[in-house]
Amino acid sequence: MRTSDPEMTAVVRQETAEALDALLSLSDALETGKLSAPEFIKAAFRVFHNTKGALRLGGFTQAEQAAHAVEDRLDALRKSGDEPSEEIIDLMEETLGACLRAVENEGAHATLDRVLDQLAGSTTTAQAAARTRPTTRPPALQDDDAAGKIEAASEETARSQGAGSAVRIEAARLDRLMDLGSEHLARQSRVRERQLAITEIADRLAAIMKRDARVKSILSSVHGDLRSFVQGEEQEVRRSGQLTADFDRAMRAVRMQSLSLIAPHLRRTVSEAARDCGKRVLLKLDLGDVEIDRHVLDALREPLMHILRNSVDHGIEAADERTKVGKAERGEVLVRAQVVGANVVLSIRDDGRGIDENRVRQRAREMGLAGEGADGSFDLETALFTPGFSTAARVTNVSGRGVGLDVVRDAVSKLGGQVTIETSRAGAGAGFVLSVPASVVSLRGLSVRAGSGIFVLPSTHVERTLRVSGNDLGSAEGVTVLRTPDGEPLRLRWLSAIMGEARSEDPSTLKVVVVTEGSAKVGLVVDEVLGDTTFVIKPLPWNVRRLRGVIGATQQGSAVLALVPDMAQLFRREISQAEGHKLKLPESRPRTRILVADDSLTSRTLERNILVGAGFEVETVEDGAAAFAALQERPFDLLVSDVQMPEMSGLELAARVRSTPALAKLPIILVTSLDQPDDIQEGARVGANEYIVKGQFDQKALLEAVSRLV
Amino acid sequence: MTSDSETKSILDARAAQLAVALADSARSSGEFEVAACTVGSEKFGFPVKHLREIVPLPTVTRLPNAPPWMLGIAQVRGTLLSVVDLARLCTVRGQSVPRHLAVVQAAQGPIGFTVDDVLACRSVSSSMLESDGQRTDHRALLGVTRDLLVVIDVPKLLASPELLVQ
Repeated sequence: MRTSDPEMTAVVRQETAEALDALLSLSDALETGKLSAPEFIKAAFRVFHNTKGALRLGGFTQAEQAAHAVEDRLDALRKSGDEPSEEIIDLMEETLGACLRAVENEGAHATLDRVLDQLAGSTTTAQAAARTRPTTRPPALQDDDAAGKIEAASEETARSQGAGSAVRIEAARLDRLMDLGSEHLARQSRVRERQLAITEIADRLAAIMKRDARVKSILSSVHGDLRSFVQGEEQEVRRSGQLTADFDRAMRAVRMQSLSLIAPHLRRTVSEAARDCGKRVLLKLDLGDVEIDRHVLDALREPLMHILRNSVDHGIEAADERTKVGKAERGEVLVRAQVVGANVVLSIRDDGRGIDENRVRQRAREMGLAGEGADGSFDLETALFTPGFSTAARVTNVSGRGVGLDVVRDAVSKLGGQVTIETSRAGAGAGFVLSVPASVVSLRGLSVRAGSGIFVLPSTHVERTLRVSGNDLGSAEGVTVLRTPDGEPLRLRWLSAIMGEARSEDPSTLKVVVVTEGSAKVGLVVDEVLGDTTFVIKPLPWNVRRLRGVIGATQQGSAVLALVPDMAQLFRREISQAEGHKLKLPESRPRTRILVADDSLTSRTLERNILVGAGFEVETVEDGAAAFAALQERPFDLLVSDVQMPEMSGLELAARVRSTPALAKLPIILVTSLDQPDDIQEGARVGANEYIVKGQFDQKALLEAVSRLV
Repeated sequence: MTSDSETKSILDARAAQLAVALADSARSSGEFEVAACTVGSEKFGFPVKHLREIVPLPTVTRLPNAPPWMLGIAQVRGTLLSVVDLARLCTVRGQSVPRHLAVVQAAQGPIGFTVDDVLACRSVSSSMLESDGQRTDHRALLGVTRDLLVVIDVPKLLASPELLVQ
């Protein structure tokens, strides 16, 4: 279904040629009176209708438009009951001829342009003009864009049809070659292991010979032979290792294709979606000369189409709506590709109405979805990527069928990549950013052990690794979290538990890999970090259609296969529930309660927000007297107090707290704008544990002081 | 009356006809090659035409959240395939010690079944197969020979819903 497929092009060419033959014999029949005018119109209409369909499937947009314009003309004739004039019949034949040349790719656009102009010009009745749908032939398409389109399409066709010395290879054979290549790589490392073993044997022999002169004289020639064999073997292994590496690179290059091959497909998707929605949309492509693995290119097709259809249907507003808000009548979607390191980053942006967060939130609530945090924060991405999520009020041809962005995310994470959503202020469009590895032949990843399994986490998802002590763990909403210096508590998940094994029950030190998916972050607890690696994801065998938590496997040096966790799924909440057991750790105590006393509303609010953000429970009061009353009534784990306050100062408050037996051990942090050594001394004297100066006041200083005390 | 020579030629022709028919019926009654393997204390036969190969059991990597009969995945000649515990799938008598993998070619790709030891290739005729009273519950068996070789119906085995992990 694309121009990049020469077989398809051949079929379209044949069908167009047959249509031209059919039309010629029809006009012959009309001339000789074998057909009446209405019969001719009816038959010709069918010819153009079928040809239009074929051209659309082949991706010959402009030719399709021409066929469509003729169809409109024939329809007008049928309605008016007029006889088809000779000019019109000539134009019809010329149109099909131009279409055929467009398919055959010879100076096609010039003829087609002329035909299209003529067709547009000869549409006389206002009625016919009105019936022409907005995207059929918008005037804008007459600009360079249209010519560029056909040129690009023919260029793409030429390239894939083997202009030059290109060869078409069946995809399955290429995959087979890659399988064998990776098997070969694995063998290579085993050969290397064996070579090291032989070296060791030679060393052992040398050690034995050292001990006994008689043995040495007997074995010296054998040892000499063995030594030279080992040296020869070393060279051999090194050479074949280089060869294997070269082979790997060549293999990778063979699989690379120009990203622009996908262009006709994207154009077609947008123009079809725009037509179905009755909107005018211009697709701008900026794909550069980015090359991408064949497999990645194929796998990106669906997700890209999905996002484009979404943009046209949900994003771009109807023409009148756009005019009202001062936008150009025609919407724009821009697809841009860039190479960033080993990844290709594709961004899809439209200038439509953007994603209405309130609507998404409301819909999420209606559907009973997760996404809304306890503190009222809302994770837009979580909701949008939930299976079955759709805000489309109605189901159209284009979208709104509940097959949602989760499919996009699944497809992209199978490639080891990720998707993020860029929202902007209301009405200023939306953006999707897909980041995928350019080559599947080797992805970068972090190899880890969890339970009995080895797993490879794609580098695109790995932020960093941490060693944490059990004391840094806490619990929020029944989930173990890691308190981090920057205040954001990190949710922890045990990889072994996700993979159906018991999790290691030694919380004294944990190895945590911080993994990200879009804006979400999770700490994966593993048993061992084995190091960086390059790997090739192989899909699971055919009979394993879907397996919770795993998207593929990869062979590392030895015979053991490492599994590649499904990072997207990892972030879905159902897994954490499926893990079953509620996390019970010695650390899972009730949340730390902090009392903040400050007479300034700004300071109070600032401190409160910082502490709440870090997962603490916070109560605020306006002065020392109120603070002391609160401390006597309710239990607190920490007091944060301003020094200068009406009624009772912070120093006075601290002194009273220390002299009250029940509160004597309560940690106290004093906060003040005064940067006086005297105050600090005074504070220490009355028993404050920490002292923070407002001039240097920042989130980090406060949280660090708090974490030292609780 | 016909002469002796005529009689003889008629009889010869009939004999030839019968011989062909006999050979045909022998084929249609399903004489086929099976690879006989032990699994636990039983013997299983895989029809050779469905078998890609039998290899020493490769290293098997466990898959999480998979059904118990699915031992995991392994790589055979660069191809990833599932390793199915035949002893468990067919509730075999005796203790099975998987040492080999029978790789069967399905339309969608290969799949491996663990067996203990490989005995020999032998010819089996489907007319000689009897249904095993103890095993009639299982759909994927063609039958049992007199010497208790359980012949597997590979297409049916591959169609068993248990094999699909969804």
